[in-house]
Amino acid sequence: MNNVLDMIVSTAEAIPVALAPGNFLFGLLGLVFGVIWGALPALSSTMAMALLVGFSAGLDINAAIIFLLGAYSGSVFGGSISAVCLNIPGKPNSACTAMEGYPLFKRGEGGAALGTAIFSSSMGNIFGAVMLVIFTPFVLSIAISVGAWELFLLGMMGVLVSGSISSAPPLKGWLSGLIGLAISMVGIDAISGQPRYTAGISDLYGGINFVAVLIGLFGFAEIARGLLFEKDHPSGMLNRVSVNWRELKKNIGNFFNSSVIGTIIGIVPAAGADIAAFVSYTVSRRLAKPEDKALYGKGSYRGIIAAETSDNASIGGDLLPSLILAIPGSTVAAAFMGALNLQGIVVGPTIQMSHPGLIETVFASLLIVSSLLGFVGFLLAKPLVRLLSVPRRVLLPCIMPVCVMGAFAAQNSVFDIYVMTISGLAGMALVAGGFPLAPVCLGLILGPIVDINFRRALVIYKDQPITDMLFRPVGLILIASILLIMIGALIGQRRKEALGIAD
Amino acid sequence: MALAVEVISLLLGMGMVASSLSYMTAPASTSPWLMPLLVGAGIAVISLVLLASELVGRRTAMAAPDDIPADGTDFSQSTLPTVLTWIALSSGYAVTTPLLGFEATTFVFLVIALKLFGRTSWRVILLSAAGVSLVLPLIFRHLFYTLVP
Repeated sequence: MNNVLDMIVSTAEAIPVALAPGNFLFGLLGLVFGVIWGALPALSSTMAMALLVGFSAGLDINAAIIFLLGAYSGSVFGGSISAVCLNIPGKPNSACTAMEGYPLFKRGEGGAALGTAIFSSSMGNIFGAVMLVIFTPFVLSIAISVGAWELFLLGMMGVLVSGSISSAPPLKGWLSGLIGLAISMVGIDAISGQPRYTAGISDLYGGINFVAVLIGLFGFAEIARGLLFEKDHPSGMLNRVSVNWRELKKNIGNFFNSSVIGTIIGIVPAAGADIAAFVSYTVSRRLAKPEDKALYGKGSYRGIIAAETSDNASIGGDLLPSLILAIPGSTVAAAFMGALNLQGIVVGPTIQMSHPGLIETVFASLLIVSSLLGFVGFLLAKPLVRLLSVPRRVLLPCIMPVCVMGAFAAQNSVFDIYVMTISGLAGMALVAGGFPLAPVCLGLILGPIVDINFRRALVIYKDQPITDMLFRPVGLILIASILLIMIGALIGQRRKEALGIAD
Repeated sequence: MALAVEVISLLLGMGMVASSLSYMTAPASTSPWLMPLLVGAGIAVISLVLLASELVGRRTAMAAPDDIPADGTDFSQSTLPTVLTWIALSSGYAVTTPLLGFEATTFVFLVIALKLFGRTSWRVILLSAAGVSLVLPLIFRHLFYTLVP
C-alpha cells in the first residue's frame, strides 16, 4: 500500500513537469493531431504513432512523451466522430460507436451522441491512467522476480496472441508474427557480437529500424489500401455537441464495468482498444434491462458509453506491460516503446532504477492529456465533420511525403527510406494475401526480448534438468495460456469455417 | 497473392534454417543462430501447411477465388494496372527523394499522384502540391527540429 501511495505522490510531483509550457503545448498539439487523424477514415492510430515517433526523436524526452500520449489518446477517440456522423468507424474500436451513434445521428441526436462519446472517452482515459498509477507498483514488484524464461514466454505470448486475435485465420496471423521475429534477427547479435543476415551491408549492422518498418506497414501499405480500395462517404450536418447527462447518470455502473474491462484487456499483450470496445459493448448489452437492450442497434447511448469508455481506458492498461515488462499491449504501444528507444530509454523491469522518475512523467502526462481530451474533442467535433468531406483520394497522396519524412527523421538515415518502401511493398503483398500486419510489428519489437531471454534461460539452466526451467510456476501458467489461446483460435476458425462465416 | 506470399515465406523459412545450421558451431545456448533456426523452422512449417491447404482448397472448391483476402482488399485482380501505377509512383518517389531533395520531388510526386488518383481540378492539385512540399518541411524543421531528406 505504501508503494501505491509513494507512486501517487511521485506522479503528483511529476504533474508540473507535464504542465511546463513547452510540454503542455506539445501535449495539446499531439491531442489535436490525434483527434484529427483519428477522425479521418483510413488513417489508423498505429499509422499516426508510427509517423510521429520519427519526429519525436528531435524533441526533449518530456515533450516527446506527452506529445505521443496526446496523439495516442486523441486518435483512439477521433474515430468516433466519423463513426457517428458517417457510419464509418475511423478505427476498428469505433465500430460499436458507429452501430449506435449513426442511428442517433439520423434521428437528429448526432450532437448528443458525439458529446456523450467525447465525455465517455475522456473519463475512460482518466480511469485507465489512474489504474496505471495504482497497479504499477504491484507489477513492478512482480516484474523484478520475473526471470529470463518467463520474459521469453511473455514475448512469445505477445506475438502469438496478436496472431490469434486478428480477423485472419490464426495460422496466417502466427506466420506474420514469425516473419516479424525473423526481421528482428537482422543485425549484430547483442550477446555474441556476430552479424546475422546483414549480407555485408553496413547499414544493417545496427538492425532494421523498427520505425521505418512500422511506417512502411501502417503508412505506405495502408495509404495504398485506402486510396485504391475504399470509397468516400458524404458527411451530414451535426447539431450542437452536448453530453446526454440523463443517460450518463443512468449508466454509472456501465461506465465503471467498461472502464475495468478496458483496463484489463489493455494489459493483455497484443489485445488493445479494438477488443476492449467490442467486449465492453457485448457485456453492456448482456447486462442491460430489456427496454435498454431493445435499443441496441437502433441508437443506444448505453452502447456508446460502454465502447468509448472501454477503448480509452485500455490505453492505461496498454502502457503497463509496455513500460514494466517491455511487452507492448498493442502496435500503438509498440510504437511508443520505439519512441522511448530513440530517446535512449530501454523500458523493462529495471526502468525505475535506470531512469528514475520517467514512468511518473508518463503517468502525469497521460493524466494531463486525458483531462484535456474532452475539451479538445468538444472544440474540434464540428469543424472536423466539415473536414471529413475532403475526399480521401486527395488526402491520402498528401500523407505519402509524411511517411518519407518520418522514416528519415528517426535516425536521419536515407537507408531507412528504402527500408520503409520495401516494408510498404511487403505489407501490400501481405494484406493482399490476407495476412494481418499487427503481428509483424509485434514480432519485430518483441524479437530481441524473445531471442536474448531464451538464450539466457538456456544458459541459466544449463546444468539442471530441463524440467526445472519448464515447471517454474509463472512459466507454467504462461505456457498453459499460450496453448489455450492457440487451441482456442484454431477451434474458433474451424467453427467459423463450419458455419461458413467469412474471416 | 496468398499463394505467392506462402511460397516466399516457405523459401525464407528454409533459407533461415539452412543458414542457421551451417553457422551453428557454438553450443546452442550461446549460439546466435539458435533463435533464427527455430523461427525459420516455424515459418517453413506454417507456410507448408498453408500452402498445402491452399492447394487442396483450390482442387476441391473449383470456382472459389483464391486471392480475395480476409479484409476484402484485392490488390491483384481487376485493379492491377492502377495498383502497379501507384506502386511505381510511390516507390519511385521514395527512392528519388534522397537524390533530388524533398521539396522538388514531393511537388512532382503530388502533382502526378493527384492528377492520376485525385480526379480533381488543376487549382486543387497545384495548391495541395505546393502547400505540402513547402509547409511540411518548414513545420518539421522548426517545430520538431528534424532534418529533411
